[in-house]
Amino acid sequence: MSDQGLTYTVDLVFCIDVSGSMRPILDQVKANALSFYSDVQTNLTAKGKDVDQLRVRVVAFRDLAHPDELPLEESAFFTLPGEQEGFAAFVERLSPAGGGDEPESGLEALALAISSDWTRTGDRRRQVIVVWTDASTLPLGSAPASPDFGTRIPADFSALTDQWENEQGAMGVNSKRLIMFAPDGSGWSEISSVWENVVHHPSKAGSGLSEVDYGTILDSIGNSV
Amino acid sequence: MSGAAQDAEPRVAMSFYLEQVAGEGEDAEPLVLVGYERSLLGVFDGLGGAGGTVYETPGGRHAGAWFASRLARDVVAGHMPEVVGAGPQIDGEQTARQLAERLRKALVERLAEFDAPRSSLRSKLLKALPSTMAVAYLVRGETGGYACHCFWAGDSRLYVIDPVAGAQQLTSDDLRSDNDAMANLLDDSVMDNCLSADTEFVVHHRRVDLQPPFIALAASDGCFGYVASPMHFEHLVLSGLDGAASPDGWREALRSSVQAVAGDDATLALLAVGGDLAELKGTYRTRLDTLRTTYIEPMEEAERQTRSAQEQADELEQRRGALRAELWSKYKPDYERHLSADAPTPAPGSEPPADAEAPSDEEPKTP
Repeated sequence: MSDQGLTYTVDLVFCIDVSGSMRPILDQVKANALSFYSDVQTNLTAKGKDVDQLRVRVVAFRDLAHPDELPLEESAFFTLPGEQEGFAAFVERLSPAGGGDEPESGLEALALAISSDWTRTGDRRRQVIVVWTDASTLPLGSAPASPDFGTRIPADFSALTDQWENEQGAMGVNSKRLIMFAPDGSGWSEISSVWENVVHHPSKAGSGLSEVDYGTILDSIGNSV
Repeated sequence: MSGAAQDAEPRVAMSFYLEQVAGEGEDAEPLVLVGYERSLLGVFDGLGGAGGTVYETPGGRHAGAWFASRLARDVVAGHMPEVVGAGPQIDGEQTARQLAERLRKALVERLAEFDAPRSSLRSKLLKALPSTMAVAYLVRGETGGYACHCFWAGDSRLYVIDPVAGAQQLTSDDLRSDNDAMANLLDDSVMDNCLSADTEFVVHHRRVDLQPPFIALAASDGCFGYVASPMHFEHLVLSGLDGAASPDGWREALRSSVQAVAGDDATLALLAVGGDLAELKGTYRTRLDTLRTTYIEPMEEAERQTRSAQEQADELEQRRGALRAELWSKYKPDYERHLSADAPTPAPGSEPPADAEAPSDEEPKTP
């Protein structure tokens, strides 16, 4: 028997609401984002699965109806741990501003996350999107996005659902997970009840998450890969 | 059933149990019960991805997956004789339904006993006390053939290895995708049916008639899910047999081969009928040779060639980088002639300064 050990690759995309209403909790969310990847890695390693490549990128969002406040901003993928400094620097400089009242442009951020340049290497892949927000979502198409995003943002929720469920899409049908720390409300509730491979913690950006539930979330990512 | 066989044809039975984390293995110990007329093989794989919720009990703190697999094993071991009955004919479909009912009842009661706080998480991925089950109930007929009743839920598998046809999967994986066994090795699909305390499930049944000699086995996905191909799994079993001096040696060979590649807990229960170890080795040697020459060696050769080509490509890439650096060193002095801090840059169209060097046809000097 030749050496048949499998290689594991993990891509994480963090969608972080940085609108003004997040001011009281954004520091905690940033800390959670910075520790989340190492918690996933620890979970996998504890199960004997050595991660060969772990990458992470961030999509920060506010409200497209208020374009002066940089409504959508995204980073490239950082390969960790080598580019930890760059990842931390990107997260650290996120600051709460604008966005007006809820809802916010969470669905646009989610669309950008889904259309990430996901890794194609590794025998076993896990592609995870994590959303932290305290607000419901604006309907897609309610405000124009920058032309820089091209066709990455679909016209409506139905098209976004197709983008997630597309078996031929950029995300592997079995390797993708969507973790949402988001309140019950327009957008997130529909996703929670309809989409596959989703774990939803109904809350304001994860507040009140128990240790047991956090462990359950990590296991849902790490155990079946 | 008893632990020792007193039957017409010799048999070899074994099992192994591998944990990734000592004491936290989510598979239950495999079941191997061998009797004169009836035998039972079973594996139970608690699903950690779906059942990662941890429960505190007086007996210890474990994930729901850990409790589920052990409870399922206890239900099958304890109820199977009564459910199948003592008669010569087994109603497989009825047995599957009764097993499902008893498993559901036991899991629901166990979950209630935990009295755990309700999780705030919402997900179709998460289940309370989820586990797979793959159970082979083998009944020896009067003419020496065997009826193998397969009962399963989830993606643990039952196999038979025929001396001529090789490994055959007897259970159909309960997966959301239509992946075949090869595709599922690289794209581990979400299960769409498994034992659980809070979702509906079914226990499937299939009857397969077997003539000795044969090797029947039950395996959790830790055994077959991390090899390069389904052919490699058969090779793992038969090469272990071929190199073993005793049944214990066979078991250890299987265990170490699986341990070398598995990224999950792994359990296997095996019953070989129709020979002692030496006879089985003779019976399966031709198949093993065919397997090696037709499937394993060509794949290993392709793998070797791929590795070699990758090494060559890496070497060429390094040489390309070194050549580029070398040529740039040669090219750079002229290219940067005007960029030196103390070299004044004449304005376009202006006369060169009086002390400027006259143009020369000589080769530029490398500093």
